[in-house]
Amino acid sequence: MTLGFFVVLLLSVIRLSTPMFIAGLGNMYCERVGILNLGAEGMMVSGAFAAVLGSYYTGNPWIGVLCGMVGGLVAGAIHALICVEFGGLHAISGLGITMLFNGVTKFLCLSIFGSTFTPNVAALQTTKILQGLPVLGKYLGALSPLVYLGGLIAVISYFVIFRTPYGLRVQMVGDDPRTVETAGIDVWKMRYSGVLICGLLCGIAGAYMSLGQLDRFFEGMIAGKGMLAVIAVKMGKWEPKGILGTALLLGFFDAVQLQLQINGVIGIPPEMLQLLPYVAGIAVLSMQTGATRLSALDSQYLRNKYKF
Amino acid sequence: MVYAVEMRGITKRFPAVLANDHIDIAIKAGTVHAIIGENGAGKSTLMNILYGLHKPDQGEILINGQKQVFGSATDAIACGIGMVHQHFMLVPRLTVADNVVLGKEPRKGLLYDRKGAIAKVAEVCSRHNIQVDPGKKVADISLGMQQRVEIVKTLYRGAEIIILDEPTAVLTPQEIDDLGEILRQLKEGGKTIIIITHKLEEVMDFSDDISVLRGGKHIATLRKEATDIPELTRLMVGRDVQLGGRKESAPGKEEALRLTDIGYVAEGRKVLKGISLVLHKGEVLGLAGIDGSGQSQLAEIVAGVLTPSAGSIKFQDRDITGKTVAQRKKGGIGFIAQDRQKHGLVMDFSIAENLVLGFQRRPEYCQYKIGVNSKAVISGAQKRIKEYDIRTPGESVRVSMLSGGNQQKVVVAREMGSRPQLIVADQPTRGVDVGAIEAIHNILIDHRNKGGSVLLVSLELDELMMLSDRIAVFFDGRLMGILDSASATREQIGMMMVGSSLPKQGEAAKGGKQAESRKEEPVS
Repeated sequence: MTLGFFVVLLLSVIRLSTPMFIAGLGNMYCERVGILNLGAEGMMVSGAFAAVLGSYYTGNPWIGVLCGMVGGLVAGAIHALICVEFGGLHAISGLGITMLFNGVTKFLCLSIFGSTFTPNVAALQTTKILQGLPVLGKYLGALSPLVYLGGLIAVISYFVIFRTPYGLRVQMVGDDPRTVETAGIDVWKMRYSGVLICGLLCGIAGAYMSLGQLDRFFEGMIAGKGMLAVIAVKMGKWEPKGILGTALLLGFFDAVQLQLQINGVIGIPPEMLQLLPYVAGIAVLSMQTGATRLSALDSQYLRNKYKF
Repeated sequence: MVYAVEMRGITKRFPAVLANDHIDIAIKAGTVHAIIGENGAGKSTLMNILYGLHKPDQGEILINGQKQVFGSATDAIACGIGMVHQHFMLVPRLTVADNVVLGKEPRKGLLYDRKGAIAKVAEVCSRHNIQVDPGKKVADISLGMQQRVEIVKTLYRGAEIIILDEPTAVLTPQEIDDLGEILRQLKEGGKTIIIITHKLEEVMDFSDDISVLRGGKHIATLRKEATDIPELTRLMVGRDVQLGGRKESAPGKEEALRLTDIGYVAEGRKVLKGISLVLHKGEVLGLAGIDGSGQSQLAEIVAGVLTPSAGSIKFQDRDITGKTVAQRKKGGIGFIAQDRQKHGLVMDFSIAENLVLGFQRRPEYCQYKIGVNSKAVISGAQKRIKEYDIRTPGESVRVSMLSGGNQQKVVVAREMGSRPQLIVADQPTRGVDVGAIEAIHNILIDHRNKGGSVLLVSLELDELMMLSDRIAVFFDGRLMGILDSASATREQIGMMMVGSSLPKQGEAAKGGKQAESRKEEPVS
């Protein structure tokens, strides 16, 4: 085992954990305003496909990323409408969104490109401006700029949640919406904002997977990363630092299984190895007992006009 | 003169009830105005309308003579109205200051100015002479302190009119005195205070004017000096009330229940230590003690909800220690659980369904041995509703739509309906209005007079002394002694409740309780 191996592994961990922590940060907003989001997967699929479409038609991958954000936002808006406005069951809505966007993207992909995968498009796999740096340049430049965008989002999220009035309100809505309402704050606006931010960030996470890691979209490419993001939020106790840490941990197991596959270790079937990050997620989650909880998570909070 | 608040012809209808029926109330500025009424009289609805949480179907609201329409709490807050809810609106994980400034946070640029928040809250507290530590987490402070935080919250938003919904329900006697002091100071500072309550002693302590609501209607508004507790009770309930019931016979000698050396351990802590008791037929045995002294656990052990870690229970000369709740119910033990909403009722089910809960296997409710005979369930329910005076539009109404007192009557009706020998009643009148208290007292005493036994847990000493034949006093999971309620004094019981087994005259009375205990002394 050489130093080179570790550097490759480290870059691989960062690459693989990025979609989980960007989507995880989005989910943090969503869950902190009290809405469970099992639709993260669907929002990412929507973002990934929309990003490729944007890049395909304009040739500019950054416009692709913007389109990805819109794609995620659309999925987020549906979730918000069902859960915030109409008090639907969060889990059902979320799973529905995941299935819906898996289906919709496949359908659109087939009808536009005649295949379940798209052609190659302009992508953002490397950061050119960092490649010029001495020593570290070749490593830092080998990561997508969206990785750095994700880091920036993490830092900003920390400040938003813990240092701004909006963050204070977000923290309270997830614990006790009634308290927030009696303080004269529009609970529903808060809940909408959380779900929509989540859609936006999941869209970026999806765009990273299609344009940052690859340069195309194909059916099933998100492969449970959205679900792992949901786990990462719980394991990370709804804090940006925790989510980042957990995503890196899950990313590490993902990277290890990839390396083991590449090195063709001792004849274990690759499907077994691919289980590794998911098993790790379940194991860590089950070890977590008596964890702090958001008391209003997965709750219905209806406007007065719908009560009575 | 201009009133601080005037509500004219307020009407609010919910699907099953007319909560407010053309209510006219005027509240003078700079006074403490109490709004009293039984649970379900419409007090809370009226105040939620004033605070903008509900919209009235009819009627208008005038604040300082100006007509106002409140679309939300924000509008009411802008008009200088603040509300302290019965269930505190605080987030325990955050600090006092965070909770107070929510919705009107001091800012530093884009960021939330946490230090500024603490300074501002401290300033409001010192201006009104209220003791609160703004930097502490809400989870770490007492309920009395939390209530002060709620008051500070309204003051921080510039409230001139402060509504307090059942402010004393969760307070200790000392904290109630402190609250009275705070209210007096706020009044002197020119604030108008509205208290919703059904506890008449406090009404007489705190308020200047008193408005009585009954069945959604405004019955009367009186000056405190011009009225007294019996009159207010009569106005609230609509008739004279006789609390306590009448014992018609001496307790029997025959043993109904024998507990031997009962122990109970929860989370490594000894909750009950070697309790031995005998309860006779035709007797009410009261279990007294500070909340959490083990008396509730003992009641649950007898009912079969908890399994004791040591000792044995004998009911009518049969050992029932290992029997399940269902077997005990069948054998003649009824249980009125402490928390009716969590353990006594299924809130989303109808009254009729709740009335057969636990008895659904009885032959009269069964059809072809497996089905439920819904006709029998409904006719049984209609009979019970009449017999136990459950106030409801019908038997198919969801239990969650009923007031606390009527919910409790459903529980009592169900448990009594099986004609049990022994009733285990764990705080049966907690959070229940005076009319329902009277009804429940009468049912328990009636059961006793007919030769049944009652094991009664209550935190209200007066209730225990009125209903019980004997009172067993608990302290820290131990039985301190059993007193004859006819000869026991509040003082004696109070001493034993804090762990002294040999009460000395005169020492138990301290602070606010002194006057009360003196009144009771001649009894001994």
